[in-house]
Amino acid sequence: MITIGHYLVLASFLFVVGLIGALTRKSAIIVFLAIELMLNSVNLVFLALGRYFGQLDGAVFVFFIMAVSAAEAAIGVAITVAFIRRNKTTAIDAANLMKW
Amino acid sequence: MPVLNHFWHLMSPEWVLVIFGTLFLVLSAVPGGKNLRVGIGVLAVAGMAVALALVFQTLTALGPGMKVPVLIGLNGDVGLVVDPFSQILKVIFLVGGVITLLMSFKSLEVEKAWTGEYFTFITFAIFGMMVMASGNDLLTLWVGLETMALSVYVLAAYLRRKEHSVEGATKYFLLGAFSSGFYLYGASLIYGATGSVHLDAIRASLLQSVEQGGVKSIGFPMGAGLVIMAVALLFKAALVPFHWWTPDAYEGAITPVTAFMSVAPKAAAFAMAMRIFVVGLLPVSHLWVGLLAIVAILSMAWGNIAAMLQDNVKRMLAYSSIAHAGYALIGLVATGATGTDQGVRAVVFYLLAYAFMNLGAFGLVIYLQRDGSAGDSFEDFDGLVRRRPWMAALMIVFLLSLGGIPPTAGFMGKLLIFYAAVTAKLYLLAVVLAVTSVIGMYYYFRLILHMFLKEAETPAEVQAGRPLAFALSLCGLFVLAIGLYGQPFVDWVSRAALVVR
Repeated sequence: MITIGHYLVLASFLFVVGLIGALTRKSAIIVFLAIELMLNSVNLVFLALGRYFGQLDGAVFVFFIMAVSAAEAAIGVAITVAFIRRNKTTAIDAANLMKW
Repeated sequence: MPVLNHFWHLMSPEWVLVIFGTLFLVLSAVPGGKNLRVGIGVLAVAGMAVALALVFQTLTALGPGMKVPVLIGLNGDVGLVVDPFSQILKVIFLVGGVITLLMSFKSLEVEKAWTGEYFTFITFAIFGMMVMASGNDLLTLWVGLETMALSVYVLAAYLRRKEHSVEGATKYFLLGAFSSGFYLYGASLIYGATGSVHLDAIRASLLQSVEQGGVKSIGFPMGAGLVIMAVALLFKAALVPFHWWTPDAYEGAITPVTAFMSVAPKAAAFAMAMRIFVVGLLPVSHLWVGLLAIVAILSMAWGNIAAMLQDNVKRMLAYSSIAHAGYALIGLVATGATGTDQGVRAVVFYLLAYAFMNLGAFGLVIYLQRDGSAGDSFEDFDGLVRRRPWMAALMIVFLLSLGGIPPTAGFMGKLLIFYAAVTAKLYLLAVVLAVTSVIGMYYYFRLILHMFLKEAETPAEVQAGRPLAFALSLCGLFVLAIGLYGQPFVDWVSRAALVVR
């Protein structure tokens, strides 16, 4: 029997995987993918909870998250392309002109 | 069932901005020379002035303590509200937007970077902030936040051929998207704990659990969700220890955008944080008062100390903006500790005063900007008192105000925050506020000394231009007016109220 708890545990696992990826990876694109994984784990939580409470709120939240993260991806890729053009690499270590 | 009720006209300032922003986007695609772009800029100023007038109109129409639901969901939950709090903050955003636009003309001219999209994104960013001030559920607030953030990422990367701009924007974007994930995860945990994403329903659910089982009955998911969500909001408001992106994004961006980022999005993040914490989460204030108090102390201390060590005026002002966000946060802590609106009002007043003084200080950097130099080193200010006495006098007013010296707006703002802290018996925060303000004097006076004592070796020829001169005079006028004759402003801001009884 799969309960709400299973969904929440899986989602928090995915969130932590994304979190670790975002904090440790070197490539700006992989960091961004890891952040998308964090957002999608949240989608899973909202869908599971919305169904559990019998409300539409959770599903509506998911649609907005998907739409906004698509817009975010467009802008993120544009900024990353500008970054790669300058530095000839995707490694965020190259962002070392300014320090604290 | 209608989703927009018959109060929808109260959102007319937002409609105006959306229409103008879309229009600018279409006009940007029209081939044309610089004149067309300048025309879009003038139109943007006009559009914001119209929106500002409409906000004032709705503000006068609202009675004290009135809260008008504008966007209502199928089950009766309110998505957007219009109340004096939201309208006063919208005034701050729009005034910040108008002054930014006026200051942009010179920068865009010097950088030869005229585009229509610049004005589109400023307009849409302000639209997002207005939704953040009015939103009444976690989803609406987040959509407003992202509308603002996505526009500001683009603006931060505006000088895309300059290394600093792209690097600052990359850091800003990655950390911003990261904090967005945090906000959503926190929101999902709060949804799970309370069964709703609407702030009123969240408050009702929390009140019920506290009444039935005491504060101990608030479970771990609620606490964790609250802390995770707070992290995201502190990121956006640029508070220590979530401030790493701030100096880089501020230094890299074109200066009017820096001025804009340090004032309007920060005020919007505060508006959203106050809405969530005071309207939704006040019943569990014991969970967040201590956390925010620590963040406020860290921000005041580290913001001021790091600002002393900077050699670049924009970076110095970036760290000073972190410190100022720390001062403002005390007001929110005071509201959490006492459950009265006094702290909220102090924050709103501080944001108003801070908008004028910080925009003015960045405006002087823009004034010194010239071909090949951003005008943001301390040496650029050498001997300004003798070269341009009026401009130097304005800068001194802004710096004294940032330092919190009477008779300026900054002093009045700090006074209200200090008073709110003492009333709430937050003596430690009040003492840290006073001590770090004194530390802060050091770097403001360092810049003043550069203007008085040093002599420029090769004084650069700089021109202000009419829009910038007008914007600077406006900032200086308001900084002095709020400082010398603050009572009308205090009365005006005292209409803002969030605490639900």
